[in-house]
Order: sequence, then structure tokens, then C-alpha cells
Amino acid sequence: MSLVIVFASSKGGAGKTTAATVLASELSRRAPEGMTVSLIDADPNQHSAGWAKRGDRPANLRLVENSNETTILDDIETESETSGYVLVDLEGTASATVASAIIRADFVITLCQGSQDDADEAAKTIRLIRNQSRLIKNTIPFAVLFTRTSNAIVPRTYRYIREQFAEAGIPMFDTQLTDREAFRAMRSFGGSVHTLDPEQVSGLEKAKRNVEELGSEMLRRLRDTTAPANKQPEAAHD
Amino acid sequence: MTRSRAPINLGDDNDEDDIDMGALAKASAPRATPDQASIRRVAQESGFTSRGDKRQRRRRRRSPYTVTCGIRASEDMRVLFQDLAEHLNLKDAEAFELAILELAKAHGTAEHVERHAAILERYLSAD
Repeated sequence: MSLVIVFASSKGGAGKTTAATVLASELSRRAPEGMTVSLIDADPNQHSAGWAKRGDRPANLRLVENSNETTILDDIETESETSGYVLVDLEGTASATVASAIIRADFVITLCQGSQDDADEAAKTIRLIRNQSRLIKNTIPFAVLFTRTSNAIVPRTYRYIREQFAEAGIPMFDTQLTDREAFRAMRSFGGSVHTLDPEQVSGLEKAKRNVEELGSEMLRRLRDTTAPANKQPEAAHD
Repeated sequence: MTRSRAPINLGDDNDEDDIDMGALAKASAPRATPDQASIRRVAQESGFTSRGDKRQRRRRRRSPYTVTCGIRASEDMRVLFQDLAEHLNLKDAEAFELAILELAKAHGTAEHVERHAAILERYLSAD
């Protein structure tokens, strides 16, 4: 058995690939000996695959390239048989591939930069998650992860969006993926924040802390949502 | 005698060792996967469409009007033809077809009318 984490947003550029590659490398780092982590790239742009092939990929991180609407469910099932954790990076469109992956997810991370457009698209993804939950008569756990945020400035729009989500009872990660050069460098050099050269990349220690916090919160959320006591049938609500 | 104070546990949930990733992975419960049609139906109701459907929608209808027919006419007759087409809310090519049909009906034979109908039928079946 394995846990399937799906990164979904119907909008491109929300930070799915950054979050997927960061979390994939972090879970691989923490995984006990003998456990593999799979990263399925179901985005036609294949940016996750590009990162994984660039070098310094953790030895226990398996890559599945070119997954699509026809193969996504089979790819998830195949990887679930051998890996402890399966991460799925999806394309930034409202496609049937996204719907298929969500139905098989143990946890969906929907991404949002602090803009109205991102929030609208996150809401659209959340509606799909809820509709799919009703279809399988089981809750599909999810949370919104804010990306490319700034530690120095908290814009009003961002605060407003968080307030709106909180009022609507939408779960949100406490950890945000801050806009950092280290995450861009990861995509450029390959590898993780732990393999980057501090001589070449600034702010690496803060980036490591950010990634570790995200990894810890992810595991806590998985622990809380996969515990049998927390599994409840999806209530019929709008 | 030196007494040691009780340690204060200031650790938080962020401690990496708190969660056993192996045991957590095994906690995943098998989940029934509905058939593709149901997934697709719910996805479409939620505004998430199949890429296949999108390709279908984007396919442009091919115009049957592929040949330029250079007929000599007086300037006034050309303008009259175009005014008539505009009055009937037709494109020039469609007005030309209608003119041929009316000509066939008024002065042609039954075969001319049938040929006209057969050509139109071929357009429709090509869509």
C-alpha cells in the first residue's frame, strides 16, 4: 500500500511543479531505507521530469514520465504497488486527467498564489474534489498550499483570500512555499535544496527549513487523515 | 546534592522522527475506483473536460467553397447581386447557389434540380 498525493490546480503557473519536486525530494530524503517514492509527471510540459533527469535526483525517487488521461490511473496503481509514496504532478488545466488522479488521491494539494485568479481556480478544483468525494462516497482530503509568498510583505489580497477560505472552512497549509531563489535553482541544477551548493545559491538554509516544514506538515496531515477514526463518509453538502 | 530539573519538552510536531513514514504509508486504505464514465461525467459537471472532447470542439468545419469562379459581369450587375445577397442575409457563394437553383427550377430540367440537391447533400455528409 502507498499514499497518493496529487498536486492539482486548473491554472498554470500556480506552483504545482515547484511544490511537487520540493516535496518529492523531501519525502525521498526522509523515507526509511528500502522505501521508494514515485513522482508521476502528468503535465504535457514535463517540467517535473526535466528536473528529475537533470541530476542529483535522490536514489530512491522513481520517475514516471508522460502520464496522460488514458494511463494516469494505471500509472498510479503500478507505482502504488512498489512505492511508499506516490506524488502526481498534473497539468494546469481543467482536464479529465486531473479528475482521474483526484479520485485515486489520499491527499490533494491545491496550489494558490495570493491572487484572485488563483483563488478562483483553487475554488474550482475544490468543487471537483467535493463532487468526486460524493461519487466515491468517501472524503478525499485536501488543503490549499500558498506558493511564491513573501516573508517580508503580506499583501492585502493574499490576506483577504486566506480570510475567505477560512470562513468557508477550506483547509490551508500553515506552511507556505516562499518565493526563493533556491527553488528556482533546484529546477535549474536538478537535485534538492540539500544538494545545492551554498556558494552558488543564496538563502539555502532558509529554503531547507521551508522544505522541512512543508514535509513535516504534509506527513502530519497524512497521519491525521489516514487514521481510521478520521475517515468519514462524505456528507451531502453543496 | 545537585538536583536536576525536569526537562521541558519544547519539541513540536515538526520533529521528523515523530511520524513513521513506513507505518503511515501502510495506513492507506484501498479505495474503490469508479468507472471512467462516472469519473468523466462528474469531471465535466465540475468544468473539467477531456482533452479528447476539446479537440473535437476545436475542429473547424471545412468550407465547401474552394473554387473561385471568375464570371465577367457589368459593375452594376455585380453590385445588384451583392445587394441581393445582403438583403437575403446570404454570403455571395450561397446567393450564387440559390440563383442556380432558381434558374434550374425556372428554365432548366428536373435533372438540373436533382444535381443541385445532390451537391448540397455532399456538403452536409462531409461535415
